[in-house]
Amino acid sequence: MKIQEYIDSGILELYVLGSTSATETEELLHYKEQYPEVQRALYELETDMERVAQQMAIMPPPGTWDKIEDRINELATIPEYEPIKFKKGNNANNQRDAGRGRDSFIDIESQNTHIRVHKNWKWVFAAIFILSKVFLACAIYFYLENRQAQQQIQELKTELRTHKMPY
Amino acid sequence: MKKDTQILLKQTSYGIGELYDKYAGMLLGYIYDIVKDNELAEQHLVTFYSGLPEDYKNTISNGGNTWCHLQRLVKKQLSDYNNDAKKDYQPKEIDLVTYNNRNKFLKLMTQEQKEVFCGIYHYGKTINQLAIERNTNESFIRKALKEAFFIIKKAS
Repeated sequence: MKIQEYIDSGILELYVLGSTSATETEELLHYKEQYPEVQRALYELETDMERVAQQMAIMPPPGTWDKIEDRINELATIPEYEPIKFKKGNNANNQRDAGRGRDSFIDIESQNTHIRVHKNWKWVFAAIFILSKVFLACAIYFYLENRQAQQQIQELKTELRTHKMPY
Repeated sequence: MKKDTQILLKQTSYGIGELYDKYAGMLLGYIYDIVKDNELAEQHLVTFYSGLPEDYKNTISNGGNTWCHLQRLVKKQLSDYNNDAKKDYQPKEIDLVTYNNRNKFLKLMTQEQKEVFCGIYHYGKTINQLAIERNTNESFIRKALKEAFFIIKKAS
């Protein structure tokens, strides 16, 4: 097929309008590489289409770019997690276990330093807390009572001594 | 520590900013002609540019016309919408007044040339589809399309 016939077939116009199949596109790009005539004709058509688009352009409302930028920045801040690849026979535990001849054992010891308890324990802890406060109050009360009693005893002793002195 | 892709995204956003300044108006006009709704057109534009980092490298290094590449990408994004629109699309009911107000090239085309041009450009119709719809052969549609392009070239 002559290249001019190919250009005149209208395939370039369809390509510029984005209406060619994958095979047609591949063929066209091949011809574009090979024939400067195709390259030139395509360039002219693309420039024409850009002019059409410029004629039909509508100014985007203010703030549109901000929305786009926000979305792109959101994508940039999302952390990426890569799955850990399983390496057969390359794991330290596997090697250790292989040495012991226990391939089927899995290390289940938790690395976590926290413990989990049943919900019912919260009432027990609350009761202990309240009781400890009651005991603390009682201790303070009896301590003060005892100190007061000691002072009274001391005063009585002093009084007794002063009464004994005339004899 | 930032991953390579995150750094690339940051760098790419500057490049996309340039593409936005140059082509956003043209793309919005193109999208509007398909969806016929300002807000929806803007939403599609935002979605398109937000997803552009994935195709940014191809866009700037495709060796062809950047506008045509972007237009093809938008067409792909709107293909679902286009498929629905195609069902309702009636060539004789094209709002030619709206088009003519914005496009001096379309004013110069005949009804047939306009319908073929807009059918392919906006609604992604194939030559075969248009030929069946218009009860004619493919060469006739190709001829009308070539004439439409000739008018654009002559007028610009």
